[in-house]
Amino acid sequence: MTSESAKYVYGVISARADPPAGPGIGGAGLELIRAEDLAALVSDIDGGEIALGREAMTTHARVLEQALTAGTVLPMRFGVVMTDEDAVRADLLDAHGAQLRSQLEDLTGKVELKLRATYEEERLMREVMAQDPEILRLRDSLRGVPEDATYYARIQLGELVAAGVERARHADSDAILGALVPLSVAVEASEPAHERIAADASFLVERKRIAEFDDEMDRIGRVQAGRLRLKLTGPLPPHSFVRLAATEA
Amino acid sequence: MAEQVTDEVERQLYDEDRIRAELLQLELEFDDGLIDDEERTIREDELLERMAVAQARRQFSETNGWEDTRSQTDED
Repeated sequence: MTSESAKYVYGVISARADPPAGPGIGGAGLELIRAEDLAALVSDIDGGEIALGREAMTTHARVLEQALTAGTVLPMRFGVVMTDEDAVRADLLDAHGAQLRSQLEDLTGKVELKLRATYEEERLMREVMAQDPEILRLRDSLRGVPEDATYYARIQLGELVAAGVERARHADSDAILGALVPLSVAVEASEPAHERIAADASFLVERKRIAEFDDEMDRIGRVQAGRLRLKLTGPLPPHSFVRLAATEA
Repeated sequence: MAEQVTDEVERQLYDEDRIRAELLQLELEFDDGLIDDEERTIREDELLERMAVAQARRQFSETNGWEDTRSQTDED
């Protein structure tokens, strides 16, 4: 017998695993929909709708982290709902079975660690100015002069500062990634979404190397203290390393 | 005309990159001690709600939660 209710899908795990304790979104219990060796981790949705917001998003993340403590997880992005159990089996597990299996195998024993390095603003500005005497000269030339008389000089100053920040960012991001990449299986670096971000990257790391990775992070943190703030999140399910091309579905 | 303006406002309101940038800005303000936990939570709630709607909408237009290159015409 198959259940008629709509299913919220968290991710795919091995059919040999047990569902995490939960609860799932909206307080619903977690269940597995199995097809051969694969299982979709799902929960029922009351009336086919979920309240979209912080609670649902944190629950999605928490369920996947629970599943990760028990084994390998292919995490779905937030918000995947399928009409019923048959649809989960047919459109997800059967339609993409080969890719799901190969990715479960590839990601076995590996987790995602997310790093963000943020500049301390004043320190960064001091460094940028110290490295480019032209910035200091321009800044001094602007002192006490009316704003409308120095329009182009101000623009030029802005450009020099931006270029200096860009140089610092490249150097720091290369150094940090360079130290951490040898400890990782793969890395996905994103374009910094803010001028104070030096590096924003996700690393795929073997569980047995997490401690080594942490040690290296501590070392970088000590070297960069007062200059860069490092934030490491994880172990997370490998969100940044799951790919499923559905062209052949 | 009014409808086009609304569409544009909607598009920006639920643009995931934009929401992500706003969340980051909020986090930096908090880390710098410019806002307290209460203000952070209030503003974050609003952003997370928009993010949840944005992501749910995107999933609705795709068939699954990963990369999906399938075209619209294949969906029926």
